[in-house]
Amino acid sequence: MRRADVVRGIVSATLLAALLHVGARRTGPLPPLGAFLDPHRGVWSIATRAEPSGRETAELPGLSGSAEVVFDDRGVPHIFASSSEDAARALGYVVARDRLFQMELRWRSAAGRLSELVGDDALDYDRQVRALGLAWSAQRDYAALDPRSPVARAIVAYAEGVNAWIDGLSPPDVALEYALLGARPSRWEPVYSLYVIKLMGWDLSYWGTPDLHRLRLQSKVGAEAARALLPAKAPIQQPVQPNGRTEPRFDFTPLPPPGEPDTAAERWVRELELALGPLVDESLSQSAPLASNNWAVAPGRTAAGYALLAGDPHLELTLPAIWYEAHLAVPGELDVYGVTVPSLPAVLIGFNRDVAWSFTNTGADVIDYYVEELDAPDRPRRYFVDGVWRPLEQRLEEYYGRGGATLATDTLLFTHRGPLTAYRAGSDSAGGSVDVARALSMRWTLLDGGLGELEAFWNAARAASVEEWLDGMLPFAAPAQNGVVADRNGTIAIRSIGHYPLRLDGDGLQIRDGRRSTSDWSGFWPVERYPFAVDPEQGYLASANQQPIDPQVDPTYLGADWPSPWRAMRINALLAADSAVTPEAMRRYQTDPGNARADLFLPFFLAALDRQAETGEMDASALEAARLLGGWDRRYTKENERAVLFEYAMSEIVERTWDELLEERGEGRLPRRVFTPGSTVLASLLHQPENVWWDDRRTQWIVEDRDAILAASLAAALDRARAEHGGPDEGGWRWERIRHANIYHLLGLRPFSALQLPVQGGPGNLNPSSGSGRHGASWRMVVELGPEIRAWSIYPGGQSGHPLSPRYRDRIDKWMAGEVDPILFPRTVSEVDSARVASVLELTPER
Amino acid sequence: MRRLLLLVFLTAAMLLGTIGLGWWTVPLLGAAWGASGPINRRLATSAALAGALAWGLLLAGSAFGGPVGQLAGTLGGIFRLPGFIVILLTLLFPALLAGSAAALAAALREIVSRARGSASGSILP
Repeated sequence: MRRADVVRGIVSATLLAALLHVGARRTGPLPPLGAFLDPHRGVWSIATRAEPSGRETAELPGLSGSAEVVFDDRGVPHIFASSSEDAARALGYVVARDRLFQMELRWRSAAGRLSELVGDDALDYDRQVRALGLAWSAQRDYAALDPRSPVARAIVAYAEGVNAWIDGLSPPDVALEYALLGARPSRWEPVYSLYVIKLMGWDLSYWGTPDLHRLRLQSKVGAEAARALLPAKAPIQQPVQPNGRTEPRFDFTPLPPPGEPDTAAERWVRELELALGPLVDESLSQSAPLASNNWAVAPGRTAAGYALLAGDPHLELTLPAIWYEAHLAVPGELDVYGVTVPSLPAVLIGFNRDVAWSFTNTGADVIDYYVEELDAPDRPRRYFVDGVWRPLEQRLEEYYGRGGATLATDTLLFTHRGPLTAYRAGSDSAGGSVDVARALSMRWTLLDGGLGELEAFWNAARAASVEEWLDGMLPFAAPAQNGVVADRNGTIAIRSIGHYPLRLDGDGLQIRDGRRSTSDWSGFWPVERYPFAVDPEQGYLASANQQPIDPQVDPTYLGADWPSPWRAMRINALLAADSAVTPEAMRRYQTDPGNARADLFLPFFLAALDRQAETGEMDASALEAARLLGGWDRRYTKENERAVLFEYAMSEIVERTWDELLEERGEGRLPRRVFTPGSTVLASLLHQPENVWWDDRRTQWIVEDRDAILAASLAAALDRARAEHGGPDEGGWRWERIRHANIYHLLGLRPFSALQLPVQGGPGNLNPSSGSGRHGASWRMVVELGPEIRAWSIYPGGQSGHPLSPRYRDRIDKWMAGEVDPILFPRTVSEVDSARVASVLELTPER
Repeated sequence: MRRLLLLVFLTAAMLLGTIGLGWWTVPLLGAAWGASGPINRRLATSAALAGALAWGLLLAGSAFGGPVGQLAGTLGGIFRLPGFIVILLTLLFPALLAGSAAALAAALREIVSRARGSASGSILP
């Protein structure tokens, strides 16, 4: 035996073993390379995926008759079916064709089963999301569902459609993301639709953070100051339900000084931080990026004499987009167009032949936490209410990894109110120091049960008038929404729809005592008390997440820390000034560059500098900044060169004013504000020039007042702008170079993302731009309700979820420019403009 | 000529094997080639060439049907590599698989055959 043979054998065996290993198993971030690189059925096969064209046919099990799907030149499916169930089935099929990976990622995110798809990196997330009870609640809802109900049948039919697509998948049709993850699509269960509803509810509840924010403030400056910084009565009132005034009302009240830290609140802060953990993106929840708008104009104030409606919900921008545009038509039963969320057999925002509607988030306080007394700190079985021990509901949760191996198990506990957060947190390695004898349980309207939301959307799609639409939306429970609606008869209305808790002992601004049943909600507001208006005298209705009802009209607690009403003020001003509104004007308003926040703050900056000049205490930078801003038109157009200076000044004023809210974070880390109060609180403070909050305690021996802070902020803003972007007229200050929209792929893959997109708008605009640029108008729609419905729409992205498809991001340029596409809304297949048909899919029952 | 035909045969087998059964047929056929082919230094090289050719042909087929170049660029972006490297990897992977499998099989065959030879008292080299 020659030594060379042995060496050659060993080298070959080692190399082969290594190759087989990386071929069959994941290595670091790489998928198993064998299946991945396989040119026939691996990632390369995806290049051969053909865009649908011409006429195709497919069998769809369960169909009662043929269904025809016409895809128009925007990739929108017009589904013509013979029953509502068939329409849902066909919708499931076509949405899965375009968005299957997105659907799987969404339901897994809600169910706490991401680890099975992406590996144990997601285990912490999975554990926390399951502890939140989303899947627990969805499964209860599904188990309680009457299988004969129309909604249940639609959910099941939708699942059949999705699975029909999955069953017929060929390698090129499998989304690229699956190849990258080394995974295969899993089959769709009807309950997944409910998971996704719960996940949307969680997002729209600001990730459960309002109580956490209040407790953080309370732990820092005491309860009284915390309440003032998160006011239940917004300092500027222009509510959703008109209050009889066309101008906003300023209810500025003195801000109490910072109080002593509340150590009891500090305990609950730690508790909630552990419970909410990675489910919360603090940077997002603090800047309230969910800034949606909707409005309707009565025929008397429109140029054509028909009601007009516009809506633009602002959500996280992703590729593929959260929405999927579709038209469902069933003769004599259904003819609805709008956007559905991939996973749901319903159009959420849109219009039919008679009615159009859109939503903004109400932001009501519908989550309460209760401190519960448990029978045993280590293994609790019971909790104490009204002198009686009640059994805790237990639920064993198992977590699996990619290959099906068990990663972890948890025993989750529930009271009659909801999930017990602290026990789970206490069982975490990170939560070892938590005293589990004082556990928090969570009550949330979305976990209460029922399928009211899907039922409401089912009804909305079939409503023939505003009145029918409002009645149809009654089952809607959570998350509460400001629903604006208009019909072809010229009626317009708005109602803040959802379940609002009735609390016997006041508001929802404290941790509640779980040992007394009187702490429980005693019911929900009757619908007659919901914020509501129909055909108001002013001739228009608008909502932009502002406080829905004027507390002078109804002082009952509905929530606190309402998003600043700058957008509401702007749209109300625009609509009040236009007595002949056109669809084109509605479109223009959606990206209007005017800014009520700048209108309010800028004069204070300039006046402060004037006063400083009178006293001779002039800072050259501040004066120069004031000169530059004095000529600013206060518009956030892309080419504007002064908005950046104003924004930097606003940022500086926040830094200097809210220094009392800074907390130390240990050596080597900069202090962080526990929470940043809204800009309306700051606006209120502008009217209190000597308030102690103005003093920047970091400057020893100096006590600043309002004017000093405003002047210093201006000077610092100019210095910063020059340092970062050069001189004011050198081109570097153009707004389009400063603030961008960033639309990330669902997995954060940069090649599949659209980043650094210049857009018109800034903080407080109708088209607001959050700091990260990751939130924005997820859908823009304008509808004219004339004898024939006319509508226009756009969303940032495209209908296809396949990154190589020309429809993956084909709408982004128009969206950036604030343009909208005219919508096709044919009654029958034969009515479809043949010049705009991209392809036709004929679905037939299985033979 | 015979060698060329054998190479074509092996390439075709790997191509069809990949289509019919999957990527793992490449090392399997490489090993079979190494175990049964005429023993010489070019065994592993020819197996590697066949592997790369088979997957290269399949890749070329995909390129006729769609934007392989664009996909390569995209994948390169994800893995922070130039796109052409991803294509090279796709050719290199089956080449190394087939080549190493063939070399291992040939070495084993050689070792076994020599062991048999020495057991039977052969004095031939």
